[in-house]
Amino acid sequence: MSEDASQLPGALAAELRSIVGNDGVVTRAEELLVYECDAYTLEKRLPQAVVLPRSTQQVADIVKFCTKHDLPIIPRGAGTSLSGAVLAVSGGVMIALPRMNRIRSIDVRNRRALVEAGCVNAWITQAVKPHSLYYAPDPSSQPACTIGGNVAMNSGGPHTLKYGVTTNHVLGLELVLSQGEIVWLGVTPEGGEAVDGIDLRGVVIGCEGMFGIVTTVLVRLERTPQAYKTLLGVFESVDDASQTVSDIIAAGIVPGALEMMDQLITQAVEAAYHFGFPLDAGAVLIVELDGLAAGLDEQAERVAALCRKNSAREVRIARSDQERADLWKSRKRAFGAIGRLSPNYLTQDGVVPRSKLPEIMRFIRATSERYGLRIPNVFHAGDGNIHPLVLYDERDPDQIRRAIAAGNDILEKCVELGGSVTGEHGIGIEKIDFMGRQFNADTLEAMQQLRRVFDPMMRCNPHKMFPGSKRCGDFAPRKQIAS
Amino acid sequence: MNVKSETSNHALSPKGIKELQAELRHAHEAKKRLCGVDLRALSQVLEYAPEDMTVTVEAGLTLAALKKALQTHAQWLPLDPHGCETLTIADLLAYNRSGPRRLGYGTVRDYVIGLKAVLPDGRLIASGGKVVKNVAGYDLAKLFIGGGHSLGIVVEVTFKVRPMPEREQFLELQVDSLTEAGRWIETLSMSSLVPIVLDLHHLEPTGPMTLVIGFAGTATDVDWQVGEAARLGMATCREARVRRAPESSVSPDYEATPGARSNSPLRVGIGDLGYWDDFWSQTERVHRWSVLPSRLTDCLAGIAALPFIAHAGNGIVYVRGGGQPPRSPTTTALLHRLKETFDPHHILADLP
Repeated sequence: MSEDASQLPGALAAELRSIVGNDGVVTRAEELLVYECDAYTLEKRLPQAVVLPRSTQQVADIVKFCTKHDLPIIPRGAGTSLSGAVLAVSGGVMIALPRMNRIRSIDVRNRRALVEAGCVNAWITQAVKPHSLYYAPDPSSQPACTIGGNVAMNSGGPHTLKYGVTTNHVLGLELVLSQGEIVWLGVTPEGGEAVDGIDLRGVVIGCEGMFGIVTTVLVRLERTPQAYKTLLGVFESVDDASQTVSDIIAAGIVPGALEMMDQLITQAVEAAYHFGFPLDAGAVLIVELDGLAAGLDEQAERVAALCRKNSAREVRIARSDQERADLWKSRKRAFGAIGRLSPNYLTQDGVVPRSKLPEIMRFIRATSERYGLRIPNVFHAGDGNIHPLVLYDERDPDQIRRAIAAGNDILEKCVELGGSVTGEHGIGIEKIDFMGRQFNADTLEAMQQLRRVFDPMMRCNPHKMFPGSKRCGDFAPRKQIAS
Repeated sequence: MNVKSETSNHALSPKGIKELQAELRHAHEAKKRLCGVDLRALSQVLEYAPEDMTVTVEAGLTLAALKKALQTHAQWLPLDPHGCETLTIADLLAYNRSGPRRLGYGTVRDYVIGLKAVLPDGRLIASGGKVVKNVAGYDLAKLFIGGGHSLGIVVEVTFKVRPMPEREQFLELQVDSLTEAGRWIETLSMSSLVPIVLDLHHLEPTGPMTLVIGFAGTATDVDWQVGEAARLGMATCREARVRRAPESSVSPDYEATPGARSNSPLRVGIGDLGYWDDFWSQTERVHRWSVLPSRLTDCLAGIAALPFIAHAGNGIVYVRGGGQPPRSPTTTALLHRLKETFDPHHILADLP
């Protein structure tokens, strides 16, 4: 396969234009800059061309073009990946899908929607809300990220403990394979939900763009919960807040969301937005219950009691939609508040069993001291998915080095505690070196064999995920975009 | 597990994973087709962390035994295929078995967070892990769900589990026609109710049809839904008979709430649904139809005289007798490539 990442020869660019039209091909270097990286900004490489198709057939034709000219293919949604999953490591043709963004149909009665892969995640809920329906997986980037990207990464968000992740909400999908063949996997728009045989749809979800290009997705819609009850607890320590989480689970309550912020984040948020949090509060815990209105008040009282049992200084309960939105602001603005603390930060993503949360938090504090860098934490406490934010200043190359090392130490510890090196952001290029820590050689080989079933030439999104992948040559650290 | 084979009657009964690996490797090298793998020796609960709501088991364990282990901490795996006394976890995954509660809780693919399997050539591979949120690597587990043991033998599975609901309550209503059944189904689907079961059953060819609706959650939630169902016109229905689980499923936390009816047969915990088990206890061949829920009554019109159970909220019908339902189109080329990749000597079952 051609590794030459210089610009595409004119004749080839013209061939691409004949497929998607003149306004669908980007080949000038200054215009390609937008596509040099995704939200993982530590590595950058220009693709040789970016193509913006409007239909599945155009995608198939572009793929055939790439096969004919032996070019790598990089599928792209909105480019919000935090792990470099959309990086054009060896150049190639980036197939960007934002122009395939329509909601084709909504079936209210059967709770399904058929959407193009470039459709923004949040648009689905917006469109079906009037029918008391919504699309459950809501990663924080949902105002920008696309459903195709969600499928590639098996995206999560804050509501996964109760509602699961993308694979639990995608019924079927259309995939363009690396030689241009178009297949439909899983439930069809007019078909029943029980499909016999091996769950190929499930195998493709989370493949990080390596099995082909997802062009259309049939999603499951959920009934909007009748009511919400949101509480916010202010705790002396992360340990107390974590114990509260354990007690809530032990009481048989499964909240819709359970979000925790530690002291550093709380301080930043308080300085920026004045929510009235004490600056010496160890942790803030947001608990959101949802379901039938009838039983929510008593559940909320039980949760409040558990907070108080664990020495919560204060428990706020939202009494209206506005108060609920206010409680959530503190969490949703957390990343925006980081700017007060540091010019740069690395967003890490790891998972531990929930019962190990206090231990990983202690380890993160120790890591912070060891490397002399502050590491505030925001995390999905219900499912053990942590997001340590390693603060650094990019003007100091030693800090960059230490930040990466600190993040790596935390991920190693996650594996040691029985967790995972990624809960949501995927492997991409960021965590290639960790795959060998989490999976044995036979498993990695089986994964590559599976990939070659779909893509024998490994043309789709090459140089990702697996140890031994080629890397981008240079290394130009830049400020991290907020997640 | 028994896989039909026309060439061999060689079945394996490994005592452990390493033995299974060696035996599969041997069969693979000798190109000797197997007719089955008996996993009874691999039937332990390996690790159960109630505080994490996860459990790891060997695949020869039965679903009933797993549920019993979880009950001790008032947790459960909300999967209710029939015959869970003898259904192994391996077969639960391989045949993607489900039951009436799939409406409220989903199916086995929604609960598997990790597994280990032995491939035909003897390699032991893993997928996922022990945590409920995990996107490291490809989701290999999905190769083994619904695959009928055709790509490998699952030996260990990690599930995420849920707390048992405080209460489950079932109501049933006799309906005189498909039209009436259809009206009820539409009304219930568009209401604020969130049933975990909505079945229409017709067990005797000349008998009546019965609509069963089940609610689960806190006692308050269940009471509200029962009241709401009455308000919608289901006041004439009676409590559905639910067979108790073989061991008492009442845990110390299951106290009768003040509002519960004192003679309710359902105050206890999660039970098997009698009509579901009865349907499968007969021997005649059962076909499964799967249609859009909105098309269910049309689908039933053709088979209404036969014994059937329909999961009305899911558009799935199990019919005893009658014609074969149309097969859903398959991606033959991809599936064959999968088989040729992982089981080139065809020592395991054919693709389903």
